[in-house]
Amino acid sequence: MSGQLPVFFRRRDIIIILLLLAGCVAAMVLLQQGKGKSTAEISVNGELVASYVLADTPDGSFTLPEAPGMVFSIKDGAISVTETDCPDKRCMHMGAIRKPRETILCMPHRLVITISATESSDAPDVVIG
Amino acid sequence: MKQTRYIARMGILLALACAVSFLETTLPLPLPLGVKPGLASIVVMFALLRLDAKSAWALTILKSMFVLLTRGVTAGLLSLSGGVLSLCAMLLLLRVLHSSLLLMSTAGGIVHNLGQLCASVYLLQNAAAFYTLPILLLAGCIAGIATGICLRLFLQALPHMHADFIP
Repeated sequence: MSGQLPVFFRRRDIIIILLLLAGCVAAMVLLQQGKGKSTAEISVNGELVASYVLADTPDGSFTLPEAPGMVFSIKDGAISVTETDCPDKRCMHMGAIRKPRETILCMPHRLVITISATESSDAPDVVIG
Repeated sequence: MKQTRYIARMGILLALACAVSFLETTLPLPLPLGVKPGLASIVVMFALLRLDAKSAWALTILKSMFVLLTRGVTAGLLSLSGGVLSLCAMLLLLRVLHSSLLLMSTAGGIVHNLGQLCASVYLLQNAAAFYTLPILLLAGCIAGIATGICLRLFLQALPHMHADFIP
């Protein structure tokens, strides 16, 4: 490496960075589109252990034998982790999720909570056009 | 003499990388996977520019070892996968594409989070984790811009630390 450092910034960098930012935001918005009933699916080690249709589940807290030390809570059609025994509490900071494909990850428990949208029976999954 | 100086400087840089990496863990950000601003990457980029690629690799791997020892296997693996992929991307941009420092740092941030996510999908055995990709890439992009600006200040503040000290 020569002593000369590369330039800090070029004008076209703004365009590249703005495109990247716009792409991420667009992907976030598009990902959470979807009609139908939101179903919270809780998986541990890649296996589905519980699922709740959020709108039809009464508010309350519960625990799962597959995830000792964690307390989940469903309130106003959204699910959150309200207690956990892992040190970083990352899943608790994620807050409550309700929109399709919103996801809470818990690495210490190898646990994933994701929202899937179950379409009503006659509606197509994707409308093209 | 040169070698002593190099060892001392690498020691300081590694200590700095470990310290900022630890301080970041105390930030409660509402992002999956313990995603953080990645301030340690400033140190890695500094080493890459002012020392050499070998020093940057050493700092990346040793910093991940620090995470492995202090925060466990999962955090260590995530740190290593993110760090290694990020450094590969930054080397590619710097040496092959001759990009600017800001773009290098932004790409580093994005690829770091991508690497972490891939490792976490493997550990969780659950592809649903990929749903967090857009927010992780967005966070990586913003973090990369911030660390790029910090890198510039760091380079200006330490004009005398140069590759001349590599034995």
